[in-house]
Amino acid sequence: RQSSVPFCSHARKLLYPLAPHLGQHRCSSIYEPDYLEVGKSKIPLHNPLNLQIRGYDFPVLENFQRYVHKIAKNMDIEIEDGWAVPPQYLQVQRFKPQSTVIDSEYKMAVYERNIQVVELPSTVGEIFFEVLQTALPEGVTLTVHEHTEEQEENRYIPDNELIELKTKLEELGGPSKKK
Amino acid sequence: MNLINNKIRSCCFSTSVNIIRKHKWDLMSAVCLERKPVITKSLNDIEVNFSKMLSRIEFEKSYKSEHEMRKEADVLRAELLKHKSAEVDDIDQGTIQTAQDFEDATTDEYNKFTFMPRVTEADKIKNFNSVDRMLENHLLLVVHQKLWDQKIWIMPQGLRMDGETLLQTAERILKDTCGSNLRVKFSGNAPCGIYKFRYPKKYMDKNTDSSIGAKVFFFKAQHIAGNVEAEKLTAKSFKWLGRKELEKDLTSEYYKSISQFLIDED
Repeated sequence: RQSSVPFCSHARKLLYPLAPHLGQHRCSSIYEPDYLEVGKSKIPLHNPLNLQIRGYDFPVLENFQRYVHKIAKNMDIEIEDGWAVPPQYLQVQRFKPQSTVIDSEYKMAVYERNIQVVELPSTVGEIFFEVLQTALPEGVTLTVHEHTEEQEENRYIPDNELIELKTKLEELGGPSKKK
Repeated sequence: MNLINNKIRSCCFSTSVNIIRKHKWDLMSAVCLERKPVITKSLNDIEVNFSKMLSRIEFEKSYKSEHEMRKEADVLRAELLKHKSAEVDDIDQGTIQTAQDFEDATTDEYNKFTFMPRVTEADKIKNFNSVDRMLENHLLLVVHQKLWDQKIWIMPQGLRMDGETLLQTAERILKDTCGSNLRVKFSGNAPCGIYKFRYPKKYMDKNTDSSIGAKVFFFKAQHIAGNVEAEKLTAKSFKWLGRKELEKDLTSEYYKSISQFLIDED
C-alpha cells in the first residue's frame, strides 16, 4: 500500500505527531502485544534502507528503477516508498594545461531516484544486493544507506516566506504571551 | 515358561545386535570468491539489430533539437547575407561559434578518444591465473587440492576449529590459502550453499568415533583488489574460471550444488 505523502513537512508533523521511527513498522500493530514472538521473523531484519540510484542518462535510470522494483516484488521484499530528487546540474570546464584558458566545457545533469525498502531479512538482503549489483547498467551508481531524518527533511521544499516571517518575529522579540 | 524365556531372550538379542551409530559430520567452510564483471556484456546479434531499429524509430518520431534549429538558422542567415551582400548586420557574427563549428569540434573530440580494449592481454594468452581475463563475466577462484587419492579443483575450503564461527573459518582459510595480498569483501554473515560428501571408506579409521563425512558451507565474497600469492599457497595451483569453464573442470555433483547460488549468465 502507498503511504500518503503530505504536501508540507508541517502537515506531516501534525498528522503523525508521535512517530519516533521513520518507516511504518507493520510487524507490531497496536492489537498485538509486544512480548509475542510468534509473528516476528527469526532472522534479524534490517532497518529501513534507501537504495539511491544516480546516473547521467535519464531513460536508463528510470528503466533501472522499474527493474529494481520488479525484482524486489519478485523476491517478496516490501517497498515502502520511491521518490525522485531534483537533479544536480554540473558544469565541467577542462582547462588547457598550466593555464586558465578553457579547452572545453560540458554541462551535465546527475539524476537521482530513491527506493525505500523496509523489513528486509539479512539473508535475503545479501542476495538482493548482489543481484542488483550484477544488473547495474552502464553509467549508473547504486548506494545503499539507512534512512535518516535529514533525508526525510530534504525531500520538502522549504517555505521561504514562512522562514522569513519567523526570523522577523524573532528579531522583534519573540511571540507575545497571552495570559 | 518357555514362551516367556524365549521372549526375554529375543529382547536381549535385539538390543545387543543394534549398536546405535552416531553419524558425526565434520563442519567445513569454503569461500566462493568471485570477481564481478568489470564491463557490461556485449549485445548479441538480435539485440544489436533491435537496438538499431529502436534508435531509428526514435529518430524519426523525435522533434528537432536546439542544435539542429540553430544550424538551420545559421544556414538561412548565411544565405541572406550572400544575397544582401552590402548589409552586415551583426558585427560579432564572426566571433559567435556557428552550430556547424560546434558540431565539427565535438565530432573531432569523439574521434580522438580511444576506448580501452574489451579483450585484454590475459584473454589472448589465456592466462588462467590473472584477474583481468574475461572482463564481461564473473570469475570464480578454484584451487587444486589433494583429498586422499584424488587431486580435484574445488573452492578453497578447510575444517572449522573449535570456538570459531563458520564465517571466521572462511576468512582464516582464505588468508591461509591465498595470502593477504587479496582484498575481499564478504557479503553478509550467512552461508549461501552447502555441499555434503562422505569420506571414502578405505581411508576411514575403524573406530566409530570419527566422522563419516563433511558438510561444506559456502560463503560468498567479492574480490576487490589484489591476486593470490602463488608462493604461499598450501595448495599447488589456482585458477580464475568463468562459468562454462567451471562446468568442465569441476565434478558434476559439486558443480550442481554450486550452481544453485552462482548467478548464471547466458
